[in-house]
Amino acid sequence: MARRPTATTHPPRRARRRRPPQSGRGAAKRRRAARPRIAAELRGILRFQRRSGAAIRNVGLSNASEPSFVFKA
Amino acid sequence: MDELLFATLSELGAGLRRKRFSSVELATLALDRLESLGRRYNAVASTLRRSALREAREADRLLRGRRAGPLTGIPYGAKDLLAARGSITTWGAPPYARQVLDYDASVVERLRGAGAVLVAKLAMVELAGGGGYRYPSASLQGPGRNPWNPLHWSGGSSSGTGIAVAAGLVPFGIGSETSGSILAPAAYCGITGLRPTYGLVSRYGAMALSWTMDKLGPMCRSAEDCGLVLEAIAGPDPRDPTSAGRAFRFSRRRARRPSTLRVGYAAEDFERGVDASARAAMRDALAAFRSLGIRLRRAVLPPLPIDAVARIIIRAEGSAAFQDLIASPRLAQLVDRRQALGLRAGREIPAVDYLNAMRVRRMLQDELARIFSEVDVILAPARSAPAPRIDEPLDPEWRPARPGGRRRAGAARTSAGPIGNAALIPAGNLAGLPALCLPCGFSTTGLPLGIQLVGRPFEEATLIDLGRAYQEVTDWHRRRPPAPATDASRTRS
Repeated sequence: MARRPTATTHPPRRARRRRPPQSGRGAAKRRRAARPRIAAELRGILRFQRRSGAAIRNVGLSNASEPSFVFKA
Repeated sequence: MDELLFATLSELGAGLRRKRFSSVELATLALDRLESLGRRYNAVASTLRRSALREAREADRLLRGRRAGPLTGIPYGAKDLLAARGSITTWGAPPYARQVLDYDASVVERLRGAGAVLVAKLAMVELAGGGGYRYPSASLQGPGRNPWNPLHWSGGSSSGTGIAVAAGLVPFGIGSETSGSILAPAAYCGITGLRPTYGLVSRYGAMALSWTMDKLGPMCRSAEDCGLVLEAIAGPDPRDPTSAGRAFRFSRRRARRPSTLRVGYAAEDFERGVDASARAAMRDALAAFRSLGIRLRRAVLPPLPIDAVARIIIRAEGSAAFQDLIASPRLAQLVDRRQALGLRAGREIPAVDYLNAMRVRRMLQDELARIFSEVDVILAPARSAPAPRIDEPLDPEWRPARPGGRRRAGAARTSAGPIGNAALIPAGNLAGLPALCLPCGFSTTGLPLGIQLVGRPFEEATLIDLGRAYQEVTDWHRRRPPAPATDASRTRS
């Protein structure tokens, strides 16, 4: 009976996903098609960043709170 | 002979001095295993056979002349963000796949001075995870496969170093940590990893991700091994402006008995704070520490947005460090699209947010100093769960914004308070504190688990002493992953 394939019975997959070519026939169409998805993902990251900034502002820093510029371990 | 690479540094040193084997034999063994097993686990960026054998012959000469130190003749691997003359330094990322930095990083130079033999540059998550990655596959070398179960991840970003030590490809390696990159792979792979105090180990010749948070440290089989390697790599370096100008001396004589140590912890970290599959092992680990006679008392991190502070600082500094890449079309070559977008997004962080993060960082440092006036060490699980599967996204709750702009339900919230000391890794990194990760058992699914000890700045010796005491009453650090299937069995159907 054939053995169930596992990571140790088969060589690992190639390191990188095979990507469609960045140039050539159809590449511009693929890039255009991916744009809204990528833009949405970027907006999501930016929103997450802004929420992180807001969480920090909510700490209640006073005028006397100084940054740790001169790093002292 | 393969057994040798699972030995501790003291055992290897003794064997070399007694001529039971030579440094050339050890290096050859390591190189052979790196080139076979290492590739299978995606642990290796490049092997350095020619220069390694030259260094090993020189080490054998020193050993004959009885001028050997504790690391003389011992092979090791370095995370591929460290420059080493004559090698390619990929930073784990396709845009740098052919990068040659023709000089030695301070750490490489120091280890060469100590007689250690650099046999390989080890795989890593691309750009040490700068920008934030979504999948374990975010590496030029492919996803780091866990030697205990190759369907699971090794952890990152020092993935190759974690794998190489766990699988017995090298006796020790050098990793780097900005926020968790030594501790996470050490915990997931079942090895001992030390994150030194910020500034103790020179970063000259290491890729910069976050100038105020990057650290280099040893990943080994035991706490004692970490002490031996730290002694070799720590010390002042005028080429690194953040160097603290201090050295570290390892001593087998304990500075303090464990029973004199006050250890802080949060009980909930060992109960509802960990995955159900890890709970029993974590309870046992806590019991083993109690058996050493330590005085446990409650200590909990302050209620500050620690994750958000670390994220803003690392993102902003990372996007500045990689501004040339971000401006170039090579950015699209990164394996993980999330990273490319994260690096771009980091440029949009307002200066005010970065400065506020640094102000909260100061508050956190002050709070931690207060906690460390009451305890000597903080103890917590290194990770709350065992290694995830290699094909799982690392942020299952995260959702991109809808094209319409409204937040989707289930998106991660930054304001949610963490349990106990769940944020100890980013907190310790923000405050520049040393930490030691020790293997402490296995999940019910058979994957390794780790526990972390965090100490005061420059008190690595306390952590190493306590780690050694723990490893004298446990044998988790002696466990080995199952031998992988041989080539013959792989082709059998």
